[in-house]
Amino acid sequence: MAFRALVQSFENLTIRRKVLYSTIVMFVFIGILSSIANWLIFIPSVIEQIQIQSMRVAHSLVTRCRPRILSNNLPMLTGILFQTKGMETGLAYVFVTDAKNQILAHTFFYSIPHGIEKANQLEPYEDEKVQLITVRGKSVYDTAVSIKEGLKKIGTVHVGVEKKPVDAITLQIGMTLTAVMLIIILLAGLLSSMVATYISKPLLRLIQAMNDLSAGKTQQLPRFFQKLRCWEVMNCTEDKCPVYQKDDLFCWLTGGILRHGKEQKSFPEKMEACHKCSVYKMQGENEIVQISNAFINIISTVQSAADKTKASEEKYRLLFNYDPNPLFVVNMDSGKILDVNDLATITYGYEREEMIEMSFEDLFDADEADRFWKELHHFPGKEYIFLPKVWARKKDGHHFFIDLHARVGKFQKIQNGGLALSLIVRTVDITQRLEREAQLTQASKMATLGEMATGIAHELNQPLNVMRVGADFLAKMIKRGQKVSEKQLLEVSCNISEQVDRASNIISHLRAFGRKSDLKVYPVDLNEPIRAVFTILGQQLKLRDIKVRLNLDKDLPKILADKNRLEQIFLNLVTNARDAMEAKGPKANKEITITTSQAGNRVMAVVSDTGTGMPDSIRQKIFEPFFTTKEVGKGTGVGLSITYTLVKDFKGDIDVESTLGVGTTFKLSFPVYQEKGGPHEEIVNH
Amino acid sequence: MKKSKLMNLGMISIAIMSLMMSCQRHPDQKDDTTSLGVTDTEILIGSSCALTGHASFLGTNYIHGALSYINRVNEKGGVHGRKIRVTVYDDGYDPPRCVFNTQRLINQDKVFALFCYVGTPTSVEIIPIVEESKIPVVGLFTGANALRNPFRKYIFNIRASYYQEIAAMVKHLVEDEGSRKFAVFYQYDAYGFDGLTGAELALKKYNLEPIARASYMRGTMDVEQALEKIVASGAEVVIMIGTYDPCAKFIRLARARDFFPVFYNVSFVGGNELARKLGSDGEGVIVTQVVPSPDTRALLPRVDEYCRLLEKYYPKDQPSYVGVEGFINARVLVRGLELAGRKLDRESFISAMESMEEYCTGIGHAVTFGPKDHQGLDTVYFSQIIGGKLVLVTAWHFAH
Repeated sequence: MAFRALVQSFENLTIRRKVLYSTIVMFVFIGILSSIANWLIFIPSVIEQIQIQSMRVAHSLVTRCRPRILSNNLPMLTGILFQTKGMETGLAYVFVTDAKNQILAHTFFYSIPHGIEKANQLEPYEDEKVQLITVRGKSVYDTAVSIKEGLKKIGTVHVGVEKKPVDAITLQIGMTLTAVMLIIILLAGLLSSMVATYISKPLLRLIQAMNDLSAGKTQQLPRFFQKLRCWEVMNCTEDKCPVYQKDDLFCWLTGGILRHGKEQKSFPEKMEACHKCSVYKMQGENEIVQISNAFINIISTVQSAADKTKASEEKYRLLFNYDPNPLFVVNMDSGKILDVNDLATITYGYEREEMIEMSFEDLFDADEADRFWKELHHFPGKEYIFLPKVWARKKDGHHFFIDLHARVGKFQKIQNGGLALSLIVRTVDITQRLEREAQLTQASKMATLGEMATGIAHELNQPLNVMRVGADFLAKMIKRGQKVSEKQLLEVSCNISEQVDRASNIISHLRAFGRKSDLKVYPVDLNEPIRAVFTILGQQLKLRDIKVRLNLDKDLPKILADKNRLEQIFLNLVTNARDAMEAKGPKANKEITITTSQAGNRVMAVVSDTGTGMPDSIRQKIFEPFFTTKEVGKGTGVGLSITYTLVKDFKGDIDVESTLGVGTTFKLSFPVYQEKGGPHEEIVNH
Repeated sequence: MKKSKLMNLGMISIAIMSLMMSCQRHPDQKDDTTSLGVTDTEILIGSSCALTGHASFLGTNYIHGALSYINRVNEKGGVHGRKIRVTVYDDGYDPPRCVFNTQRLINQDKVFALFCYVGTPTSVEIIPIVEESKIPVVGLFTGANALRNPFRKYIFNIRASYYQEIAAMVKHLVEDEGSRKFAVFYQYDAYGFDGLTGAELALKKYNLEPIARASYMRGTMDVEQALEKIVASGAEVVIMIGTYDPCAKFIRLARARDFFPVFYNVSFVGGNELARKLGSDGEGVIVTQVVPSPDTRALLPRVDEYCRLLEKYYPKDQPSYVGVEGFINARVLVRGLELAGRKLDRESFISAMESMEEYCTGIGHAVTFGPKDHQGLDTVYFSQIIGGKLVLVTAWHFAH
């Protein structure tokens, strides 16, 4: 188990350490092995050599001593011994004994060690012997060789070699070897460390570069080797090589490359060709360089892609964030806000972090939120939803109107491991627009009132005149002194009452008109408001010689609208027609025709006049607010735009055709009111 | 990183320690033989020299010169109350015998010190013995280089070396006489080789080298072959490293062949004996000397003393250069013993010898030793055989 743990920890080491430790272990092992070999083999052989040398010396002495022993020339013998001792290094002593083992000559000084001639005595059958003896407390190898004359032994040569120096030599050898081994280990360690560093340094730099890349730090890519300007070497041109003049990339790593006539597209045998290229050879063989260069390539590719993505992201983030309307990204399933832009936070008064926690419907009152969801879910396949005039709520509780545009996004965000479809919502603050509309409406009302005032004046004049006539008659009768009969009085008072009723009717109509319109819409017969208009304007038109033709369908289905506003529409249209025909001149034929009918599930109303008509250029702009062809002070230009809005409020359509000099025709259509499954009742504020 | 640096350091230190351990040497062992040879009353001195044989003149005269002085010293009460007793063995100028004698002197006679050894081959043999047994040697009748280089702790040389002798001679011959063609006639042994080397070294200084080298075997008179060689070379000078008998024969034969180069011998030849043997044939033969001539007794008191004492103790002997040298030897030995004091042992004796500075031996030149200087004298004298007698050179002239 411990072994496995050891292996594991070894695996985890850096390359440098691995190489270093392995090398050291290997050399230590070698060192130990060689030391063992030394002690077991080498040193014993050294000892053996020394002993062999002693034997050789002894033998040569035998030859030289023999004649001297025979002639009993002791001085010569001594001389030989000393000479030998002087010549051979490391001899402790030399001595020669006679046949009876008495010392004849020796190289001792002061005293002969006691009993030395017996210490290594040769047996009669022995010719040579080596023995370890003790001389004066020291261990000595005594080599004894017999001196023979023929077969007869005449003496013995003894050569003594101290063991201690031998030991010292062996120890010294051992020590030297050990020291050498240690130095070698040291050097090996250093060398391997250097080699390992050489290998691992570029890798570490690479790792660093890649870590930096992951951390998002763009930085100078490490240069490992001075790159050749291969385009200069190979005479490449820019259009043919994707790495032209790019120092950090290498052509053999990129896809499109020209190769002597081949098109600029990658070809499968590319690397084969690259291996033969002189530029590749100059640079590419070293594995470290290769791997480094490959990684640099990846890094620079990734970096440039990342940069592009980042730039793109920046751009779209910019668009999202700085859109002049609040933008939301809403999870379609949960209804939670996923993302908001700056204006959303500013407009609704929340912090961005707050908004991201919220549901989208938190920005509305309950019923408005319902409206939103119902719209969303009613048309499941629908990609684009538009809700006009939604009542939104800010953080401080303040409400305001928005137009809500929503679109289902293909935007897929991974949440909790899953995918979710999102809704991109834009809310447009229409407060200003509504105010303008209100202003318009107000102006229009004013205009209408103005018109109506004129009309009413005309209308009221009549009953008043009639009343005047009656009153005048009564007055005249009384002044004349004539008697007014009961019948006449009754007639006059009935007439007056009648006219008063008529006047009241007009006034109450006006009152009804002036009353703030109800919020509600309800089923209305379109013919009624049309007829109502002529109660106001009928007289006026008659006075002006304007003929009115009404073709109103008796069985006209009801529409969902409001009487007052419908009245306003037709009032506006009729007054416009009147003005257009007046402009034509007194001799012209002035005729207004209003037709109502049903066409399919639409209720149609057509208002046609024989007025001056209008050219196309004006016709296109007719519904624009404040657009008028009348003189300053005469027309406000709001009428038709209000009309347009009102028609649209009732989900109707209005269209205009005109021929210059002939006349103009307005066509209106409204959806038929259906009891069930029809358009929802809406509450539309004005 | 730090950890592996520490490891490296550890390994380095282990390596260094092992290296140091492997280079360890064993310390020297102490000896207790240093006070051998000294008793209350006596100091034992030993000598082995050529008393017989072809160099007997040298050994005899040498030891007699020494003993003359020592006898005188003993007569006067000795040194610090101790008399000097000299044991002399004859080795006949034979190296093995010399060795044998020396062993005997050390082991059996148990002498305090050795002195008056004669000859190169003999003296050179005892160098290892002397060093092993740590016994001082004072004065050897040889200028062998091996006794001087390397420095030998136990050997005290008094006479100038052969190299010095030959260098002086060659200098004079080359510079003053303009000689260029030198031949060397030498004894075929350590002595002869030493002299040959000396000659070559001396000549090298002048970008010269011997034009002929020839030898003879020690103990023989076989000089003919050598003569042939040297005659054939046509040398101007023949440097001779030999003893008186073979050298005399060589010179005589050369003259017989009408070969008249300058014959130059080193001091070991035994100039006086050479002169005696050659007679008229020896005219002009030069011998370098390392001690003054006995004829200078008038000038030098010690030389005079030698002559007187020799007369007294060895009346049969004639004063000779060799004897003078022996005499001086003994004087240096005694001086050393004196300086060592009463508490005498070998080590203190050596220290005393080494402390000897400018000791006037009475020959006009002082002997100086030091802890690294065991060469006493450096003077070389020139002598020449004129009229059958060996005389000190005052003016050069060559016989033709």
